[in-house]
Amino acid sequence: MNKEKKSLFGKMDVEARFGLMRMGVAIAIGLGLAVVLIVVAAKNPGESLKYFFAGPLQILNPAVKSGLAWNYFDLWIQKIIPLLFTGSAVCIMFSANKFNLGLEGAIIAGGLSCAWVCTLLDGDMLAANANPVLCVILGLGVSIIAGALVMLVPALLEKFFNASTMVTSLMMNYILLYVSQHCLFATSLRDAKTSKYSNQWTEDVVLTAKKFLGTDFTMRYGFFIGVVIVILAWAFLFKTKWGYKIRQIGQNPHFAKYVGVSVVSLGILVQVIGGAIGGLGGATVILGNYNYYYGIEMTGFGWDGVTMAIFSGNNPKKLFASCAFIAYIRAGAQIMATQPGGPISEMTKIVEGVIILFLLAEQFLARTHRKMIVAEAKKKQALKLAAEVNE
Amino acid sequence: MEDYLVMQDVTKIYNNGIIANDKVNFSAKKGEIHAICGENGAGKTTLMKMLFGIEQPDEGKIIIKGEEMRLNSPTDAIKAGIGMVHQHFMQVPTLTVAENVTLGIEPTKGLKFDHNKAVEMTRECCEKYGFDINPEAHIQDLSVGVKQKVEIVKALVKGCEILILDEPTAVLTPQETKELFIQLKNLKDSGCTIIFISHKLNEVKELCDRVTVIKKGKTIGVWNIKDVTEADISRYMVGVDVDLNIPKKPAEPKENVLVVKDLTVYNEAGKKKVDDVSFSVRKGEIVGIAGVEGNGQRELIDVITGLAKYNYGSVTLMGKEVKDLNIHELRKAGLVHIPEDRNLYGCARSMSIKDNMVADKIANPEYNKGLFINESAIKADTDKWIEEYRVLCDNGEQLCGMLSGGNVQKVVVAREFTSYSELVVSDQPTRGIDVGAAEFVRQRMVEMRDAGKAILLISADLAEIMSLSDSLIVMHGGKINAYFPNVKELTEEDLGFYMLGVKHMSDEEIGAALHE
Repeated sequence: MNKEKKSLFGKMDVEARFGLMRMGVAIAIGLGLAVVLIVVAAKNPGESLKYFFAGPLQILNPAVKSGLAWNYFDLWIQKIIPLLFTGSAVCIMFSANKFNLGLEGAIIAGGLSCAWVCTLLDGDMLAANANPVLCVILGLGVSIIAGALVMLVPALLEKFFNASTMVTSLMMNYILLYVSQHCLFATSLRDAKTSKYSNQWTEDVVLTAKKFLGTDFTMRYGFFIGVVIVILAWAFLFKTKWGYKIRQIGQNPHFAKYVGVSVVSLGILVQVIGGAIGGLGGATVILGNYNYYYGIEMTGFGWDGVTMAIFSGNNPKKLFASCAFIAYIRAGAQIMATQPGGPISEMTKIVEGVIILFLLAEQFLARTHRKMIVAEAKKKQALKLAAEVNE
Repeated sequence: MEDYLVMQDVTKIYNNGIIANDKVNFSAKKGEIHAICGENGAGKTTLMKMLFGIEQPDEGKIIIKGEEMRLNSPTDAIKAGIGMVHQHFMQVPTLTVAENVTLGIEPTKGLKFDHNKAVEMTRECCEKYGFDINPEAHIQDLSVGVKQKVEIVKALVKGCEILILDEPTAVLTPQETKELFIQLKNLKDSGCTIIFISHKLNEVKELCDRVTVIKKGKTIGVWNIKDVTEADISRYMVGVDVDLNIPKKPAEPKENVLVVKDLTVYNEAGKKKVDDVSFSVRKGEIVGIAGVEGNGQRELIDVITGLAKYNYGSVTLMGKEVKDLNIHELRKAGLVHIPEDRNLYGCARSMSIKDNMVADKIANPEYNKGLFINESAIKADTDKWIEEYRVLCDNGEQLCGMLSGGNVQKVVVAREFTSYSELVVSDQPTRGIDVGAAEFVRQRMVEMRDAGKAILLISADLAEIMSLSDSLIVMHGGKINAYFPNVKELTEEDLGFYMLGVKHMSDEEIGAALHE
């Protein structure tokens, strides 16, 4: 017998083992489907598959040899960053059974308010030489508050009017999107030269922000902020009394009420925290990647947060692997799509959807699950019998 | 007479890994009343769930009339002629008896429900088997005893030949039980096979022809009832004689902890459930509340434990009005509560034993270090409690849902009894747990009493409530119907009369429940 394997896999209880197996099978099915889609759609399937599976690892990047700036590994990291923020936010909210889907709105609010602060402090309006570091820090701070406020609206509507958070938070997304569009089209935020984008902030701010939040170097500082947020989210949920109570609500709300947890106020708290993280995430993405604000459509990051929370079972500790995985196949697909004859990158959406479907389908592999439980119970019984005989 | 129903080497393993039935054998003849006895958690209900198609066996065969059957759902079981009366009635309270009885086999006239036909069918069935029920009465207006008869008629109307009764007398008064037994014997004479699950051995002895004893998921044996005594069955069930006599000194009650005064509670439908109730619980005594289920006990306990609000009258705990406190503040004032439904309120099954044990004390300073939880302090205390309360588990990290019912209850009791307490509200503290665990919980309650706590006990188990309580309140129709300052003088039969509302005490006698 393979001893090494037994100590790792055999030590886990049935549920943990089954969970891992189920995840593995779901991912395998998803990736299998990806292969099929690529083979069907690509002009040169072998080449496309190579880029899809190994692209983000940089080895295949022709730019490295030719000295061009396009950096595949960087693309991967860039795609991880928003997932870390939104994943943490949704993990915290879902842990308390708060199915607030307004993260998209919080992200827009964060990006917008941050852009506003930067152009205001920096642009023509103040003319003076505003301190770029102050500008970035203030921008991020304001984004946190904006995100939190956005999420507070559905939370309070639920508390006072018993309005379903799911509905009101979805509506908030659109409200924020239209507010953002209004700002870009009809206020001083608008860049007169182009029709789409905001005024650009000055080179000083761009440099500071990039230094701070993302650079053209292989690592982005926004990534580190994201990592810190994930760690904080985990510590909050699993190492503090508040997080403990929040998880109690999620596991059994009746029990939480009965032991004296204030279900309502903690429910509001998680949404405010989720919004704050979402807002910060939105600002980080804007400042780290652009020198202007572009929010005229939904970012999709809010929904990614839900995907990430499902992947990691609301445990931020597992977010790193989940985010890295999803970002990897997205980056891989994008790199593949840029190659001549490669299929379009939207195919990853199908792959993600399929994986989520199998993760959430309760009856998926139910028979195997039963078999594992029966086998385990019998093994335990035999061990017990043997112990009794020995005595 | 050959065996009509055979369950052969049936094994059932639940998802939490507990082997509920391990190669159980059971058989019944046509026209007999066959008892299945066993401690709570022995696997009786699981066995019957498989016979009724609610659960499917992992191994073994079910043979009915010589034919092997696969029962994948209750529909299959009903087709095979099996009917089941559950502990909790499956009825729609706002519909009439006839409508409930014909649910699932509704007679129709065109597209419409044929009410007259339904009434006719119900009446016919009632007459045939000698049940005295009005088919046009609404379920919500009926007493528990009649509701149970409706449940039996429901099975008979569908042509059932094997009737399973799961603890049918648990909710009945002694008088209603007697009536039920006469009817069951009639059913038997008309050729029906009845499987009677109970742990009340006197009833088994009185009613049944044969008895199968199950212990820890295994068949111990089958006996003709003539050949065994109650003591024999009890020995087969647990291995030792059961003694419900809990050793305890006479109570020494001191000052009031809980005072309920002129309390009236309406439920959400606006129906008066608790009607002008006054009583008090003092330090160092156990006050029992007896009553047939649904006579206001549930609503009364919800109010006392802060789960529900009240508008009329007052409830004070250590001098503080309960209405003004949230549950967190109530617990700080000294309330601990063993809830009736341990799986709904008593624990989070997907959290660890350790987490469940400290659930109400997680914010206490001793379990926190600055911003963070002090894991080592929690582990030290919970490990101690696991040992002290004899929770059978691998370690404190094990999930609560992996434990058997008795051990979950020990976790609940451990959490509540290790918290600061003045008043212990014990709601059905031993329901559905094995004899050993039940005795342990009862002893702990007596210890808590002797340590000067006030204890309010609610239990449907008459033997338990009569042996544990120092004084006893009987509720009927939302009112206090009787108060016994000394339980020792009370007989079970007499208690039954008060529970049914046949006898009433004078206002003066009832008024003694409130100590000034």
